Amino acid sequence: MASEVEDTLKRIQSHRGVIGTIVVNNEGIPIKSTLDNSTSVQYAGLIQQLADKARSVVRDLDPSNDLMFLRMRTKKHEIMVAPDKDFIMIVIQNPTEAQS
Amino acid sequence: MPPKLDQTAKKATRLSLSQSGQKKPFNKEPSRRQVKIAKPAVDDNNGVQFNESIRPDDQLKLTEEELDEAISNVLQVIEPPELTARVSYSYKDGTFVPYKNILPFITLIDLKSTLIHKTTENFTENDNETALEEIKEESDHNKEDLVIDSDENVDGRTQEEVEEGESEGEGDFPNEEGDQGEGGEEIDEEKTSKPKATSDSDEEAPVIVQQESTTNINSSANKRNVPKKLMNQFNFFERCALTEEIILRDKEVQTTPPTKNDFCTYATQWIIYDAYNEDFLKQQDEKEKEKRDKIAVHASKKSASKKKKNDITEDQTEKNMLITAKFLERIINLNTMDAIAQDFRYYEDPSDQFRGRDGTILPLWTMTYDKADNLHVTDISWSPDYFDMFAVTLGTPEGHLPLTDSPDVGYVCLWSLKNPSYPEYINQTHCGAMCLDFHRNHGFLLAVGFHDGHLAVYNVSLPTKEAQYMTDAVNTKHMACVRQVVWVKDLPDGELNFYSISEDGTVCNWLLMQSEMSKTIIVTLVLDIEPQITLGGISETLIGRGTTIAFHPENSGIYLVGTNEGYIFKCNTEWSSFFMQKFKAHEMSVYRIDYNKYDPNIYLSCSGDCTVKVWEDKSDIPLLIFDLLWSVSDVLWSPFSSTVFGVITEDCDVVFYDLDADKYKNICCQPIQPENQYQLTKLAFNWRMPVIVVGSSKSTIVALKMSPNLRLIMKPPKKGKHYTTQMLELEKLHKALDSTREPDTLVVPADDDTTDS
Repeated sequence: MASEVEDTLKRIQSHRGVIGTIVVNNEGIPIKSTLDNSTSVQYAGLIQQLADKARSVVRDLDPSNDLMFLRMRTKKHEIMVAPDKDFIMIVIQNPTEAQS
Repeated sequence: MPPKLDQTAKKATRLSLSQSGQKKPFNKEPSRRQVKIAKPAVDDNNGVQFNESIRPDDQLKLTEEELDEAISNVLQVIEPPELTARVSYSYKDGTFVPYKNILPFITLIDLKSTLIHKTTENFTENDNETALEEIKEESDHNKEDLVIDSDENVDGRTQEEVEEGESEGEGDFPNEEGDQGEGGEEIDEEKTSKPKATSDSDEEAPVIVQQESTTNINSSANKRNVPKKLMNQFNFFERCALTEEIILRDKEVQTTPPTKNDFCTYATQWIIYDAYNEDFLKQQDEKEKEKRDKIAVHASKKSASKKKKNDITEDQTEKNMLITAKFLERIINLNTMDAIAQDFRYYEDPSDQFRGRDGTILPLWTMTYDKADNLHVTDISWSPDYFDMFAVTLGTPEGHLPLTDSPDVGYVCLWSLKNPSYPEYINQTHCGAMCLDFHRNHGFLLAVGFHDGHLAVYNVSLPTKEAQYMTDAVNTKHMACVRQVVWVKDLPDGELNFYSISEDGTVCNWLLMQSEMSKTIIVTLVLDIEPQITLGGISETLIGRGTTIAFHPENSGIYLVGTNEGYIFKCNTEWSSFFMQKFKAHEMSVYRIDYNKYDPNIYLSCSGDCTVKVWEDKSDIPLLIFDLLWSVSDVLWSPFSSTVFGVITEDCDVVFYDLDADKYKNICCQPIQPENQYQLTKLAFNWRMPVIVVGSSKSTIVALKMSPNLRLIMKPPKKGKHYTTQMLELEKLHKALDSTREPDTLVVPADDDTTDS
């Protein structure tokens, strides 16, 4: 199972336009990252807050609902966040590069 | 007891009254008697007095003269001295112990009396008598006993009051007693106890006192009579029966103060919701636990299950991670292949309307499983549950097996159109997988046939890659490559079953039992033709190598079988030794037979002899023949239109025919990746979207979108009778085929040669 996860992450990283993948544990510490240390820590810290807030919003609207996925389209990148109970997976992709 | 007392009292008073001018002999007599009375009273403890006249031995014996001698009384106005050397009798030790209470009085009872003091005029004779008698008593012992008695009974008191009199008759005593009531009396008695001890030496003293004190005694006795306190079982308590009073004490203890903590958290709606859910689950768990406990599980088993639980939670995290990763991959694919995804959903070729009936196909994704890029796609089957998911088998067909002994591997892969970069599910099989089929109702069950004759049923929803059912290598498996598997309708009792056709010439039915598959050979495809093989004089019948099987869509008992030799058998599951129809349809191997989706009497067959033929049921002569110049690897009717079918050829062409538009010319012919050593092997129509997938010999799968012209359906007329699409499509098909059907009257048409050849 674990190797499958590794493989999947590897495939993700090999996709066109993917800049980096970060896996953050539930304490907000990046446990796996393809980016340099300071960037991953920054992403981990900021995005965890955002994901928590987003989840709070979704769940406050309907407690039986839950946040599954969060996409942020920015001018430069697209940041994809998949928050789970135990971890958060973050992928940063450059969509313009991907389509070309 | 009280009556006796009364008697003695009477006597005493009488004496005192009669002899106011006191004489010694008179005085002595009562005193002696008194001694006798007092002693037994002490013994008795109740203070009962006996009136016997026994003289004590130690009594002073006086001569007549001495008795006659006059002794004068002296009055002294002093405070009555305190009692000293007071003793009480201890029943425990059986001796007299010194009385410790030095207070001059004992409060027995404190009552606010409503009685009014009466003056001495009311003094009665009885009282007087008693008093007199008691006064006479002189001995120390007696006095002490009397003190004790005074605590307990009235009699004692009487005597003591007499004693008060003994000690220098105080004039003011009566007044005091009157005021104080009973309390007063006791004070007196204690006060008197002291002088008694002192005055023991001179015996005469008490006697002298006697006369003067009579008045005092009388008044006190009188007072006593008024309340008339009599001893009975209700107000008398033996001392030894009294228990000690339990003393209540307050005790204060200071504890250490509880520690204080500051705590703060959010309480949002969903946190509360979660907490309730958690609690609910806990309760459910406890209920279950109780149930389990009732069934009594061994402790060892319990611990094992606990361990398992831990594993499960770890697994769960990993599983979640995998799901999330896959999900991310899909999203990334969606980003990278956004244009294709848009086309898949929304693009309808606008040029179709200028093209007449011709159509185009738009290539969408090309999917490759990199690890198996030299394997052929041997079969494709769309999932009945998800329109964008299909399963493929990868393997090497017989004729293409390399001569070198490279391992014969195969895969079963599930692809989703949402993630065209990597299969959703990969299962490596022990040898080349040749065919597969999804169960129509249980979309997770996948029957797979293998190159070596094995069959397996996989449950793709389980994490395990193990086959749920697998044929036995010795007994049950097919003797040659399995070419097609088809699930059929469940048996009436719900058992799942499927058919397989193999190159060993048998059609088998497989029933999924509890733990195994049971095999039933339905038919052996005997080719009843020359030359028969003769081996050692025994002639063997030729057996057709089955390649494809197709079940009648409406009558599930009837099916068609194509063979490698080009024969088509029409069989019924109920008869194993008899074919409903058998004819030579093609010159070369039949690759596929497919019933029309609208009219089950019409079916297609394709073959390695480069032809596709349209047949009508119960006829040996094809209605239509299409020559494609290349070996046709697959043909299928379109599910969208009754007259359209798709063909793939080995030279990588995808061809579409519409019988309604043109019976001789295709409406679309597009090459797909014209490469060397690249063949198309399988074709599958999606049942919902206008999409086909085509498998190739390089394990690539291409998804193609059919343009609107390739799926034209009859539009119901705007006016007049309403027809369903089904009816209209049927009509369209028959209209197209009518012209090709041979009229009975006509002789064999000219193009008959092609059929025979």
